[in-house]
Amino acid sequence: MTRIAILLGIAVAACANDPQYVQCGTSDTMDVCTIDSTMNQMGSGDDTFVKGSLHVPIKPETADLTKKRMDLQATMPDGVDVPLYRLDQYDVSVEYTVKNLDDKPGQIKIGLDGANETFAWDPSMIMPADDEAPPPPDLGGDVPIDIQAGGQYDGIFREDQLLEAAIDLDQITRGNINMYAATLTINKNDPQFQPLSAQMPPPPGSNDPPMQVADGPAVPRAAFRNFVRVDILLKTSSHMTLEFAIRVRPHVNDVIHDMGMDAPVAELTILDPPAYVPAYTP
Amino acid sequence: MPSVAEPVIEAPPRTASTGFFAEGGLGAVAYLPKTSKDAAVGPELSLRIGRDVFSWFSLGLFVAASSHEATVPPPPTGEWFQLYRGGVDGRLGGRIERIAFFVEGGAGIAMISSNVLESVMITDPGEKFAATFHGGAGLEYQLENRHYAIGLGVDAFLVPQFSTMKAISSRLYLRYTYGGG
Repeated sequence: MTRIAILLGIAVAACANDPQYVQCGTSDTMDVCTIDSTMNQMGSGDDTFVKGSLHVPIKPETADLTKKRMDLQATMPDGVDVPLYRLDQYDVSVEYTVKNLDDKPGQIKIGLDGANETFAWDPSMIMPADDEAPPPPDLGGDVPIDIQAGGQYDGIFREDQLLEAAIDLDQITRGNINMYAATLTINKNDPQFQPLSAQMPPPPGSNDPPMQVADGPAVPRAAFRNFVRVDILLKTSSHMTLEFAIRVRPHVNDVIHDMGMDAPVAELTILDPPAYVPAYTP
Repeated sequence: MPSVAEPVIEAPPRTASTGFFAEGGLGAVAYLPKTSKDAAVGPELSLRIGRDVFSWFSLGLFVAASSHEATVPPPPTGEWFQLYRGGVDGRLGGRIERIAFFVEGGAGIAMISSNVLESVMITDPGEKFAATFHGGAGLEYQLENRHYAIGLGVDAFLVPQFSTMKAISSRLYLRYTYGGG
């Protein structure tokens, strides 16, 4: 009997937590999973890019999940809101394929951005403080990749990279943490982060960094926001196409729709929150 | 002294045991066109339990699991999926001394572990379960112990709802028969 129980346990475990591949579907026609570097360019000069977006097929919160969220909220310090879609509910990764349509080698950078349920991250919406300021960072990627003439490159943003990016976005938007600091440090294993006061310009003539002080209680990891939308930026001066899909691995039931973005619209929550714009950019 | 002829002792026939039985098999599943261009050949593990109703007919329950690399157009690349099958089947057979031969057929349910084949429209959005039908044949060799046999089976199976997925499943198996009949 014990052996049968063990075998059944192994069988059930083998079936659990299988990934779901999500492509652009009929539920949101604004999602774009195939982008061409010569079409719909955004930005200017050397910073032009083409953007594609794909939502995570999240479902409206069920009564059971609402109760769990309320139970979790009761354990939080005052002032910390537990989001609807959290890190512990699902993992996301992005797989992509780039094709170089030119007859000469080219170079690309692929930026990873996205949105949680409250804010989207769009570096093009952030004005640098001055001409010498570094450009606002993407949440991930942005690494040069060489592709031979007519070649193809298959790549992936792993689950841990998306996890890091989701935490960075939450730190920047909820915690007022400097965007360079958030994206240049590894936070994926942090148990919490301390929100800071809004960044303010330093006094005239001062070279000191903006003063920030702790503002409110630390946000525990259980209340970190997860991605609800993934944005992919293709940056190249060559003629290339990029096709991508996301891979979602749900850890709880009733959060991810198993029909992906082909599910009926009424059974999905499609969130497009506003882009975050800091009060001051150092 | 009169000579006494030594008695001739004939070895008893090695009658194969019949009754309740269990089989465990290892093999491979290869998909047939058009699924074959999107799913590679993969290893399979199978189990079958049943009862010999007659010496020439048995009924059984089977479960099988196979694992395959999805060779769909990228993305994604290098991803694997599992196909689980379970159901009932019947087996008609005969025996010539140590060698038994059989034909079998059955029906059941198939479950696919992921939707990675959705991009090539083998599965529909949200579809994981489907009916499956199979038929095939095999040979069995009875070992010295009449309860044990080893066999080779080859089945073709069909999953109509998964875009009429067709595949060949072949396996080497070990059979143990509990009955003494």
